[in-house]
Amino acid sequence: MMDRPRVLIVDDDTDIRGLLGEALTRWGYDPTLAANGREAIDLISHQIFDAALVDISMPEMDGLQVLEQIKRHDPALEVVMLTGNPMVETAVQALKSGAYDYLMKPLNLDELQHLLRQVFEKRFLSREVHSLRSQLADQLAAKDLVGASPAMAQVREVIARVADSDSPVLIEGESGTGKELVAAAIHRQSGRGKGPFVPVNCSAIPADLMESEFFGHVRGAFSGAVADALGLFRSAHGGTLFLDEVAELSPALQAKLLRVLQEKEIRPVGSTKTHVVNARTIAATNKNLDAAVSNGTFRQDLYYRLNVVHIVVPPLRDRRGDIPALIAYSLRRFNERFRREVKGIAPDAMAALTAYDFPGNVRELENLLERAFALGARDEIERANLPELSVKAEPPASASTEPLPTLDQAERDLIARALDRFRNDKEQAARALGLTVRTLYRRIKKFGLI
Amino acid sequence: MTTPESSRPRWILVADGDKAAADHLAGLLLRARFRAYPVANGLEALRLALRYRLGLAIVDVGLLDMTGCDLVRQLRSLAPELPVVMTTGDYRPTTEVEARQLGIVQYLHKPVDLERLDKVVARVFPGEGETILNAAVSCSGKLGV
Repeated sequence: MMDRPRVLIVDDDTDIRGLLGEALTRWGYDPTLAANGREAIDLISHQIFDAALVDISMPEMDGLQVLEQIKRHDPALEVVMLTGNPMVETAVQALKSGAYDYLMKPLNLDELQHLLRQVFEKRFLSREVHSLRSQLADQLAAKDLVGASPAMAQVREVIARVADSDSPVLIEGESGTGKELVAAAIHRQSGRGKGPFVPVNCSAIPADLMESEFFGHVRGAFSGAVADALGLFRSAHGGTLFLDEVAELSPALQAKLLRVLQEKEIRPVGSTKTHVVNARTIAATNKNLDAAVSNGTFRQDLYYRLNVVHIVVPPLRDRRGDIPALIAYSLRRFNERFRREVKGIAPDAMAALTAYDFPGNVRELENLLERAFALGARDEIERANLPELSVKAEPPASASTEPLPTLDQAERDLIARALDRFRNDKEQAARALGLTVRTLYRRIKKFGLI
Repeated sequence: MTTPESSRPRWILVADGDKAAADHLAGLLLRARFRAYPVANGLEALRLALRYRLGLAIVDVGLLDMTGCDLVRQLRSLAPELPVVMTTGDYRPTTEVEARQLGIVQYLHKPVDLERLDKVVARVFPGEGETILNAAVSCSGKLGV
């Protein structure tokens, strides 16, 4: 039941609403009815739909306004417009505003059923949820340090050397370089590998909750303390506590953390008892902690305690040679997840990737590739699948005095551009335009583009 | 076709095998002007995570079709930096140790301390919404979830 696609039906005509509601239920969808635009907007602002059927002509807020609101709210939600006979221009306008397709009233239910099936067949969603269902995410998440560049070889060498020493480690690196992977590798290779690895992002914990998060609390310590809680340190007992973004620790907690590192024991909030903790600390920062110490925001004594071993994870732009290996690694993961068989990267796409600076480092590379999959990459990732990488600036927006093209001209240009970009691949062009292939063929014929 | 991630609405996922509890907490969050979505099973939660950029996930240890920890692991593969709050009515330390290994921002025993949750929400969404505590007081005077 829960997996039935949800369809929002927006029509001011009670009979049509009822008819569509019944038909969609019969076809296995989960329909929700709205009598006007306002109701529809209200619904989409706190429920999730997979598709919407929207009547174009409604009093007050018309279908185009509803479409605009829906797209603003969730660009991925597919909208099919329903239109009366003499409104073709409006329907074209709707397609340009991002509607998936439109249907003429009186509705042909077979056509509607076919169209809805098309909408849902195209969605990655069901396939992806399906594949997630059958796999453990552990296999999907990046876990390994990838790359054979001298810089990474050196990082690996330090990891191997310090893993068993039990000394505190401070990892420095820009965001997205994989500091947590380094910490986890140290943990795994150490004698604590079988114990817990407890990561915590210090910047995400509100300052006044830090003490009980780190050191736990006893029941009744404060009004919401309904039971004893271990806190982070004791949860990491026998293992490793990884303090990410350690520069964000409040001054009060810095003082307490220093004491714990010195005395190896903690006292939960509200307790009179202390507990011995045996947890190795690995800290990480994307800031220059040295500078934080000199300007007084980070305690120097704590800095020395944490910084017994220092590892710097290089930014991706300093190890471009690792980009192909990182890509191969990500492709394997995303092929699994998206059930695809992308085999590689087109030369021009590879050239663009290796020339890019990656301010967001490995994580940005992964995001770009994931986006390429979402944009429909099949055999290989092409330059067109990497739109974010466009280095050339867009031409400046045309001045307002320029004559506006007619809708037909604009539409013709848009379709021609899409066909050109996707080298005449109708399916890809249609997807990029948000049209069905059938509709695209109709337009191509109409504009004589072939 | 390409939409900047930041312009997407940021949802709060509320996952709890006790659907009434999820509904109640999501209701409070909605009243506090956040976009919250209650689910009782993990698959539904993943479906949400695939469609939307989640800003925060509040996940109970017990769900209908998988454990809360399994859900969080799967969410991480979709959104590595998603802040997660775990809730539980299970007070055993082993449960806490398992949850803490997922890199969560807060571990809350039930009934949920709304004041604490408010602080976490305010940290994740600075300057947005109102306090859940006020929403709870104004809606029923009944605290806790």
